[in-house]
Amino acid sequence: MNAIECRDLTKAYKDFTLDHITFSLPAGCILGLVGENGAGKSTTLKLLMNAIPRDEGQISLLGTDNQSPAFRDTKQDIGIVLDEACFPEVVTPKELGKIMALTYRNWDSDRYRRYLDRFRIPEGKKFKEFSRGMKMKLAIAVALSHGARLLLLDEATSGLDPMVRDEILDVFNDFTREEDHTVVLSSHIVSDLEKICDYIAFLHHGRLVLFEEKDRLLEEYALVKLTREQLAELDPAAVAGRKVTPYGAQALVRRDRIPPHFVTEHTSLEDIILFLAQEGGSKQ
Amino acid sequence: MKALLYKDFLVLWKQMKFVIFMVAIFCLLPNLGFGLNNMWVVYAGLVIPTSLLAYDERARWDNLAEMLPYSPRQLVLSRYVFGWGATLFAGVFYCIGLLINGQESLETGSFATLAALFSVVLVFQAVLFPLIFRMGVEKARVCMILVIAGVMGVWGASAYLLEKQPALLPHVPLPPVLVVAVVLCLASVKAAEKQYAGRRW
Amino acid sequence: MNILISNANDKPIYEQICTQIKNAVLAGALRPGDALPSIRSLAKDLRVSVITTKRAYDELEKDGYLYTVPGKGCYVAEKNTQLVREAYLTQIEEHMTKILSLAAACGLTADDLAEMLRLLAQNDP
Repeated sequence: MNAIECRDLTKAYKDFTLDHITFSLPAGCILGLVGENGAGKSTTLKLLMNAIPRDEGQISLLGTDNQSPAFRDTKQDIGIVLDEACFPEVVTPKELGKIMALTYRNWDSDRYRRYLDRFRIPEGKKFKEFSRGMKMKLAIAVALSHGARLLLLDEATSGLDPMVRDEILDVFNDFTREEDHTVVLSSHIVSDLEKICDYIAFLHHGRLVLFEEKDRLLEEYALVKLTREQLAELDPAAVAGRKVTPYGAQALVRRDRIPPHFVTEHTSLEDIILFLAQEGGSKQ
Repeated sequence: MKALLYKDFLVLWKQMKFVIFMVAIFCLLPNLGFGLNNMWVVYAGLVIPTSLLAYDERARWDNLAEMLPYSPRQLVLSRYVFGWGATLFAGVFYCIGLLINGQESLETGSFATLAALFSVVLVFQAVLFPLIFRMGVEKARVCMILVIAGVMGVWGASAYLLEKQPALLPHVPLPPVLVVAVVLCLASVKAAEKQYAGRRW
Repeated sequence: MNILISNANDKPIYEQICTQIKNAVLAGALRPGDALPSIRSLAKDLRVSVITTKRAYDELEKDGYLYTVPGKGCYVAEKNTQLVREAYLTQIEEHMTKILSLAAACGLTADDLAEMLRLLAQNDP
């Protein structure tokens, strides 16, 4: 079963258009949604939850059309973490637990308390007094305590120190030990996504440039360093991106399409994204 | 809906405890003849819910709430219900005040005045809330102030033209007025739902 | 059983998993009938993609190293490890013959080679 089906999703603003986004994400996977600030990541997540009206397209989450009346029920099974957590400022984690217990029918207050313990979140402190890391961890604790099968996280790891980031990524990794648990994680920090994602979606200027299995991407692409003359000789279809300096060139190439005598280097997801973004940008 | 009301109550209690006490005390005080305690009923019914909305807006709570399993109707209606609750709260203290201090004339305070005040609050809520759901608290507040200023202006102008102050609360039969106000407010819930769907903030 | 995944390694991750499980079978660390970790839990423990792990298991199953019991999990197959071992031994012999001919070309004795081998083995336990 696919956890998310998104077809031809389009939303136009005055200065920005999310343009016919199509993808489907199998259940049990972690999808990393990459893209520069303003590429349309948050907009996409809002549209997935039908929080804002769309111009075109069809979306279903966990098998339910998100514009059907049944979707409100499906929302019970979806955990949400937004980039600023967005809880009322004066509320304490303890009180927040009560609000959520009245909100979610499968609220598990024991589990919630265990997460608060694990994340070392004081129960009686006001939300506005927390650090950013604490706020995000609190939001994650809430999202994980109502039996969700799908987690949608908007920039949940940005602005956090590396240790907290790693801790949080571990939690998501554990969450998907269950066969039907799915995570969508948006971030502009590619290295976070490289660690735990099964799929990578790359949004660039409102277009979905890439939707691919992560390891396949890493296998498919390689980095080569070569002279400008060599670069000119390469099959254009083999070159996915290039960087030319006065002293030589670097190219992102498809491994299977370049002559074997080129020495390829293992590439990182970040390189792939940067090269593709540059190429995508220059085409416009 | 319970969740939303509980959340509103928490925020109210923690952010505006002082305001609650002010409303209660001023409603209990004997009327000094300036219509001051009348004002507190209106204040409770309009300012308390608006402030709550402003707190939520600052916390960007709405961004999250629209993704949680609340229906648009619950999100909208809970604001009204809270506004009605706040008005009623002030009304109860107002009544207690009347019982302690004795009824006075319509101009300074009586049960009839309270009914008139309720009508005023309901009508203003009916206008204000859809505005808030349309354009956010800040702009809606400005609009509301303009509306109130407009009403006062008309009142002042007519006082000048008639060379006599018309009563702020004209002597019309109150029960029908209250009924009209209630109906107007309920209709406003529907309108607010529409505005919420097409919001611009 | 140890499985070490290297991201700097130019070999695809699924291949790294495959090779290491194969080696564990050949070395006897995994015996026929032993239960293998589920695809999902192995993926999560190694912090690699589920899809990649599945691919590795599919590959291993195709090569006859493991079999799947639907609903229960994956088990190490009864493979004739003796045959596989002999195939490896033959390969080693071939390499050694090459080494010997190279050594003869530059005048190294069998003892020198043995010494070299010992040193290498010490550096790379």
